[in-house]
Parts: sequence; structure tokens; C-alpha cells
Amino acid sequence: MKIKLYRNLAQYTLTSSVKTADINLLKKYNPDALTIKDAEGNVKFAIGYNEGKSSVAPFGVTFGATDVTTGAAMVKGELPASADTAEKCGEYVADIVGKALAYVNILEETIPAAVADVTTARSALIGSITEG
Amino acid sequence: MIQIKIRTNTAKEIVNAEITASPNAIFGDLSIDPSQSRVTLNGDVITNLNKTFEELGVTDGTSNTLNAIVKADGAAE
Repeated sequence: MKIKLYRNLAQYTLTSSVKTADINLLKKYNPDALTIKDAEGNVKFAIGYNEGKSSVAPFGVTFGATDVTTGAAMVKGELPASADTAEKCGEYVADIVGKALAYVNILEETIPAAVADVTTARSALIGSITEG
Repeated sequence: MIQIKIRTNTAKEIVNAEITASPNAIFGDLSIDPSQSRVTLNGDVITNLNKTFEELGVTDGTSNTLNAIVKADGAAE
């Protein structure tokens, strides 16, 4: 996940390597692939997409925007007025993202294979449909 | 995204959901029938289970409790 600061706009962005379209595909066909579970099978971290409703928490990230060029899922957030130096901005974002980043990195590694599996299965299903 | 700790008379569950989801949607996903229950969200009784968590005042990125408890009748006199 790439993190960028836009101090002139008082905003920051988190851009995932996962595409919004892939998140929506897995949400429909394999929602478990968007989660990390503990040994008992309880969800301890999840990612999702909800247009305009970005959020980052220790238990999950909701991407609320999409890079128009690459289709990558993004979080767009506001920098507080108190973050008036580059260092303070970096510390603010690090405090927000810190606990979630490791989990997001894990999911960014596993999601592409899950998407490939769903795409293959879905294509096979569509190919098997015949006209009456 | 929000975290919801759900408690019924018989079960406990922790799920993640979007702020635009509703208590009824969560109960439906977990096959919980709240119709005979007193439902509370973060301690406050809620009656419209089709409102979104956002409409019910939940802040995105927070952990919340959603209870659906059936109250037993008191002893007859």
C-alpha cells in the first residue's frame, strides 16, 4: 500500500495494490478472501469498499475511492490543522495506519490468487450456460 | 468499517460491517431472529432495525455492541 501526503490540500491517500473491482468481485463470490481470521475462525481483520466512506481501524479498512487511472482502491483522509509540518503529518498518518498496515499487506499478497480463482470459476460457469 | 460485538441469549459473535449496513442486515447474515428480543446498540434501545448504523449514530472505525436479548417473564404472583 502506498501512502502519500498532500499538505497543500490537508489530505492524505492510501493506495492499495488491490483494485476496487477485485474487492467488489470477492465481496460477491468469496467474501472470506477479504478477511484474516484467527485460529478459532473469528474475523480479526477485513477490507471492503464503500464509495465515499473511507475508514481505517485496527480491525479493518474500508476503501472509499478509486484511482481513475489504475482502478486501485484508495482511502482518502483529512489531515488535521495541528499537523502543520511534514513530520507531524507523517506521524498522524502512521498512527492511523500502523495497526492495519501489516494485515493489508498480507491481503494484498493473497487477494490476486483468490480473484484468479473466482474469475476462472465464473468464466467456466458462464461458458456452461446454454440457451433454451 | 465498524466492528460489531453481537450478543444474544445463546451466542456471542464479532463481525465487521460497513457503516451503511443495518442491524437487520447483520442479524439476517447470522440467521438471528430479533423479533422477540429487546435490541440495544451500545446500550441504547433501538426499534428501527432497518436504519443504517450511520443513521443510528455509530462512528466509522469504531467497535460497538449489538445485543438482542429475549427477556423472560417475571414469576407469576
